[in-house]
Amino acid sequence: METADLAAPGRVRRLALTVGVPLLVLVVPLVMLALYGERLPDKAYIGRDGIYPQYADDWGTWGRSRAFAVVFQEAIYLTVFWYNWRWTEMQRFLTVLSIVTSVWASVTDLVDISSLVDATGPVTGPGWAIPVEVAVTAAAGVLGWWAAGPSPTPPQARSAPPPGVPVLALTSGTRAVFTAGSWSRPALAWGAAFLTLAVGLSFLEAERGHGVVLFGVIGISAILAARTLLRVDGKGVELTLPLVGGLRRALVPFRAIWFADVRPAGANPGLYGKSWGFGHVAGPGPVLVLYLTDGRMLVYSTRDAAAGAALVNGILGRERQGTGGC
Amino acid sequence: MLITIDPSSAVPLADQVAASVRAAVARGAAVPGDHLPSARTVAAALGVNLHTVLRGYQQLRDEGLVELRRGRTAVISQTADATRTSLASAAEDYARTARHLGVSPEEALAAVRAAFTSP
Repeated sequence: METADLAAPGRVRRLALTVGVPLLVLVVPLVMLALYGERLPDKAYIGRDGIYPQYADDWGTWGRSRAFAVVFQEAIYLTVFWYNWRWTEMQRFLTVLSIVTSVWASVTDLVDISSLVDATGPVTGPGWAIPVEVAVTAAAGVLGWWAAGPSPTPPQARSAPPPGVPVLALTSGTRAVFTAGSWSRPALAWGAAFLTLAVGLSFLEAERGHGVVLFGVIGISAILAARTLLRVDGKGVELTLPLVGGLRRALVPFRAIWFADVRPAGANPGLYGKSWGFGHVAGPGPVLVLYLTDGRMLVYSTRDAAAGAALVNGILGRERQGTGGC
Repeated sequence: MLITIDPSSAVPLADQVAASVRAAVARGAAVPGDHLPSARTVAAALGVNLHTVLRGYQQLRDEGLVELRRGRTAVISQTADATRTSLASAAEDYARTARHLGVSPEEALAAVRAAFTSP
């Protein structure tokens, strides 16, 4: 089913910010080297290399490793952005994440390189460096959130589910709840990959912890979010994360659902995480698919997908015929 | 797992909860080792008393269909059999219909035997 692309307004701006701001991580050191290159020591005593000066690289090698990190970061941001092409909230999150991490790294470089001007060896950074880095980064995050633009308001669905989808016959007094739990293999795999990356980066001499922290946090978050519980009841469709204390990941009210359907076993590979959908697909089994009014789909692996879809459609049909809620 | 109740039905709510779980096992939607939703979750979602749901779960435990573990967790037991559960569920429906029609158990059983022998 083709639905409106609500993420289109502001998408180009969010994409430009997400992939443009990380270039600061390259531009700031280049500008500093151009301005003060003659007055800097031979080696880049930056971050960890300032603590262990015997491992410090020359400025050329340090710059190349920094460029590699930026290219890698850009590739990740582009991939995730493309996967969430129609999800405004995720794009806004990515924009802020990109700005925060890039500004943080750039300000750190700015302070570190400034400290090395006219120095002959490693120097201790000024005491005000960390508070300034935190303040500038926080301000950049707030500005980034504002610059990413507002989230669109999805239309409200009012029509009954179309013919041909499973529907549970509900009388006006029937109450029902559907629950399912799932481990997402893709989320586990992404989590493991990011953790591996974080561990790998921690061995890089030029890496000062930004990448390790970023990828470590992403990896742990992905693993904790791999286990989900789905519940359909009178309030709507709720996804929670039991490994994060039952944190609610999403609550989709019925007014935001056109209808529900089932994709049979084997029909869903590649569906997870694409721009037109979100949810949890655990493997090649059947999935419950909710067609949302914001143009995306919520997909969820469950053996009993047909019962879940039937309940959602039953509630939608009952509500939209004016016979009350579940 | 889908659990439905109809408060206007003459069937006790706990029985309806238990019947929903049986139906899920019978159609293969719940298999041994699967966790049932917590009684608290079901009670809140259906707007019924927690003890009503627990009574339904206890019925299933007495039938050997689920195991109740510490912390009020209910798990489909390893001995749960979809075929037998399906048969028992259909039999319950049949018995309910027979009672509703005022037919004696003997007459109802005779009708079943006749159905087996008919071509």
